[in-house]
Amino acid sequence: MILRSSYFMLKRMLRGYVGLVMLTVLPLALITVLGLIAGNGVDEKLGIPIMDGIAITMVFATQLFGGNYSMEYIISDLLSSNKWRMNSLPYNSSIHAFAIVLSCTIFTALQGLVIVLFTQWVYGVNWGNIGLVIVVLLALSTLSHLAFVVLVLWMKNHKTAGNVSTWLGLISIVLAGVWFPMPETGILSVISTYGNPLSLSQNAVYAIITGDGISRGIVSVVILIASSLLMGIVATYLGRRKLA
Amino acid sequence: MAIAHMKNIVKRYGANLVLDHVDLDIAEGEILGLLGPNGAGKTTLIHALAGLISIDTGDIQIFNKQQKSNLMDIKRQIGLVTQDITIFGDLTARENLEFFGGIYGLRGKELKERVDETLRFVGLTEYSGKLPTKFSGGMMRRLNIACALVHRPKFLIMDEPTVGIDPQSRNHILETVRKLNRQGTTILYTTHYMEEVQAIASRVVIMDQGHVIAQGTIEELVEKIQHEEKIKLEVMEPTEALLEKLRRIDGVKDVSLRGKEILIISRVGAGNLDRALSVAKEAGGVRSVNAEKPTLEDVFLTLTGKSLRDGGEE
Repeated sequence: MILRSSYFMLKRMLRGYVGLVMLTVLPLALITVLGLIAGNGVDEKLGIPIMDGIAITMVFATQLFGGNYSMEYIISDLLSSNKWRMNSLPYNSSIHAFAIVLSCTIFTALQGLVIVLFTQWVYGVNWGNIGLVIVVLLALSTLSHLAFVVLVLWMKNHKTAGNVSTWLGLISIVLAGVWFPMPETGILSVISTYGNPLSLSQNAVYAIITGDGISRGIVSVVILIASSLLMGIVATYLGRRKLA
Repeated sequence: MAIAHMKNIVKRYGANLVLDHVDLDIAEGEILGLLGPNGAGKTTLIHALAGLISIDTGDIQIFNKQQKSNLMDIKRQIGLVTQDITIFGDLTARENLEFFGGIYGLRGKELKERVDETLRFVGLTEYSGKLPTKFSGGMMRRLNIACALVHRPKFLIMDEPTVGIDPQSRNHILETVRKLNRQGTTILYTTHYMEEVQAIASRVVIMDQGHVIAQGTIEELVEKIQHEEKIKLEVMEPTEALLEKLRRIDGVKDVSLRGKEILIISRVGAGNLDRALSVAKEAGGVRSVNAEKPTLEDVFLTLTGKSLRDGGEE
């Protein structure tokens, strides 16, 4: 049943043109424009082309908002009036929720992979090890989707849950120093390096590309995966309470 | 034989007692009309019957099985047509049916045939490849019904399936309900349109404030209040003095004025039609007179003190 539900979820997502534009077309457009502005410039701190840094940051930053897919479908199918139909079926609604999260996670990770491959082949962006990139994409996508699901299952007001999840994504981008540099000492530095999903993803990929900070990269991947598992446990607990 | 049996059902939401020791049997093969004003508990009763909500006390058996311990099995054999449209707007009509049919265990050739058959049954074959967002209200209602029929349920629960649609679509849906029943499906049908119940129901249950207050065929229910008749007099000069004189006639229960039309509720057999005409003629003349047998609307009004359409539906 999970595979069956996932198949129909994929059809639904492919017809959601807004999502496709926001998570694939828009990031590609921004990478293109910002890359043109950056030209052949090199990031002094990392020692990699600025274009590469832009592409890496944009792909992972986009993943932070991919959880909207899961959130919207959980609300639509299981928390709105549709729930009466779904609950009348000989089908556990928790399984449907799992199918939603599984298919949406893979779908958004694939969207990220499309951008990765496009930028690699067309713009010559060096992503290092594509296998690692896929692992990071999947871990980040899983974390994003589960975090959004936890919020919508925990909060009574769905709109508030949506707003909170958007703000968490933006805060993550700020903490990663994308818009302005973060302090390099103190607690903020630790949070900036290891305390937000965007930085963790960047750490992993930069470690492979530059050869520096390998241990930081490994720790980052471990934290990403562990956070996803923890979020999965919380989502399962909240799901059993709210959807049973 | 009862296809569904509910005994002593109690359901509270906080301090609000929504179902108050409700007993209800639904016979195999019948169309049972469930009527009640806003807040009567009809939707809660349906949700309890379909296993969507738990009950505080009571016993529910469907297909001779305890609902609690056989819920999934029971759900495979019932269909629920919800009051709201609950289809996937981003899947085509055919895909919606394929999804739901698959949940009910249909696969491969059997699923395809069943989907085709259901689309034909509700008259949506031509639109099978289109998204419901392109449908009219009536078409969406038909697809809403189709999703509950694809697996050929033995027992179909329909919660106000014709809300907000045009008369032509409504008639199509009522004809669909009759066809299904002729094919052997037992149907529980809630509505606040009296004419729908009169058109299709073999038996009617009237609910109010969490209780079943009357049940039976339409004829049996009308018999209950056969002790009353309705007389409508359109007079030249309706005055308070005339109304007072009519009220004082022996056997008259109620007199009310609507414009120039006086409505008199009187005991049957009291011979009040002649008396009322005499009084009205003396007071200035009568333009028209009409004596009516009680209808289901009257049964409802008598038993609940409310018009069915007061305040809409829950």
